[in-house]
Amino acid sequence: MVVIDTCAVWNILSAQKLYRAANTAKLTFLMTPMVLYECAYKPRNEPSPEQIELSKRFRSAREDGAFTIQACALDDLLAVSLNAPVALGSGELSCIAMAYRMSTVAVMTDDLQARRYAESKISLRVETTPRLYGWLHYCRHLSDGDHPEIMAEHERYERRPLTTFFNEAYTSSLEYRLMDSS
Amino acid sequence: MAVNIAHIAQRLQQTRLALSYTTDDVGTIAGLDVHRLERIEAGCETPTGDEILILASLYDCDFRTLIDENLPSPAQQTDILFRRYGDSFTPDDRRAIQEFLYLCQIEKWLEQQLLITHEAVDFKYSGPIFKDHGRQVAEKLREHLGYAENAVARDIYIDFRKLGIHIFRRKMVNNDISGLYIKDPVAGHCVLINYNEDIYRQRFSVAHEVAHAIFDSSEDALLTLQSSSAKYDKRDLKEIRANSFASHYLMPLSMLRGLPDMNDSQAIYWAQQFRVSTAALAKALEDNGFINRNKADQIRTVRVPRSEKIDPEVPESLAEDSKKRRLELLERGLTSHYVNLCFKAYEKGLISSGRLAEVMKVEYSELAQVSMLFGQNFSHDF
Repeated sequence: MVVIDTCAVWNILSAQKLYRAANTAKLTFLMTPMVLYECAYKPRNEPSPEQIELSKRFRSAREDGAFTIQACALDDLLAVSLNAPVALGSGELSCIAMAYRMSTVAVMTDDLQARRYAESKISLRVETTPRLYGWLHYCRHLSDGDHPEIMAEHERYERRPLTTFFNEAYTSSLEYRLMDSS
Repeated sequence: MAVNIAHIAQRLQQTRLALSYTTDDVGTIAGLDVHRLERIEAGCETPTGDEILILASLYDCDFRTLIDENLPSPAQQTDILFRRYGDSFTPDDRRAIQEFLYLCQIEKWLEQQLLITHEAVDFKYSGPIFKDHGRQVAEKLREHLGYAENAVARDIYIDFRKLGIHIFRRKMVNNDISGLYIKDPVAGHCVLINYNEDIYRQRFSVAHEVAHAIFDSSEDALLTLQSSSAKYDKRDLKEIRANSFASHYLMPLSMLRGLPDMNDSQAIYWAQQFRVSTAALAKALEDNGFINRNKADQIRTVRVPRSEKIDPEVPESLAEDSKKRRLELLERGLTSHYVNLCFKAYEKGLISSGRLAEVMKVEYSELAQVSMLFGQNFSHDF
């Protein structure tokens, strides 16, 4: 189980094959109400066509029962925010606070600062979208032929694409598979 | 920190009411259960961390200020303003002012984190005449900032930010409002200018509000109305002093004194040189006895063409599309100064990308585009 922050939601939904593969792998994504607010309710200034499409994908995923909502407790929010060495966003904070007392839940974020804090200061398990992508290839939930297609779709919908890190994760997954078979 | 439910309940309700939201509004906008919200505000239920974060986002405040009794309430300063000038503010204006104040607090925090220091100026003035206080301090400040007698302050936003004053501009619904000054316990001196005003009028208004920061900070909050407003008081000495400061800062006596007798095109030329309206130029010349009433009226009849007015916060070198986008962001309160601080803090690892989007009041997906618009680097760092 992972609790996912806002930027990771958009990164996963930016490529439909990637999102479907994560579902096939039976990954459970939890979402805090704050992240739901950011993804679905927060007033937007003229969303781009790409953002409108991602929002549509998000609504459709929610209708299919994805992204189970789990709130963070007020005490946990205070505990994690008091010790944070950097200023984190509300979505990132709520995810870290939610996972704070649940050892079975990892935090999924693509932000370096949020990841560093969650990993090194409060010893949470942290996942990233590229790491998930590599794992899906390693477990053969995605095929080699999917890679260029996923990258192209991701770059179309994400203005700040993670292509370099997806490529690295993909290459690593191939290397690990080779090592396993040798 | 022990959580005091009654205190949280009170702050949540106080803040919501100050911003003219009903519980139904909040439920609809934020996707929260209205019944639960009412029970939280009544102190009957404890909010979750997420509910506090969502409400802080909607109310434009630091979530800690809704919880911690030792921090000033989010509505503390706006409450003073709204009580004093209540009927001047529409719900949208109240929310715009709260957002402005929050931006000022963030700007202050960013400047502290980035170790940015401000000029300390000794604003001494003397004598019983308020109008002359304005002149004395304007001249002192010009001298302190190194302006020659014949130099016009071009980017006064930079000048005043050097003093540690937080300046934002944004559109207000009530066009009677010219600007306002708030002394915030967290951010310090905060100035908001109505972006609906003419560009050169905004320049004068900024200098006017800065004068309130210098002379009238004991008032905590002051609203300046357009001189055309029925509520504007021409005899208010504080307003006269602030106008005098603005006029002398933008159009120093040393320069006015040397101006030739002006025909219409020369009046436009000099107003453009000073980056003021012809009305402000005419008033300054008339008040100081350089021209008579008839001449002043004649100068007032001509105008600097709108298309030729220069806004120092929107670089002329930008392409039309970029300029349009920058103006949209400026109207929302995103000045170059503020945006640059935000990106610098992100680069230095002081804030996360989620926080960056939050403090810039943009979508996470908009960050890349905004960074390009302001010439900032916003790469992923894994």
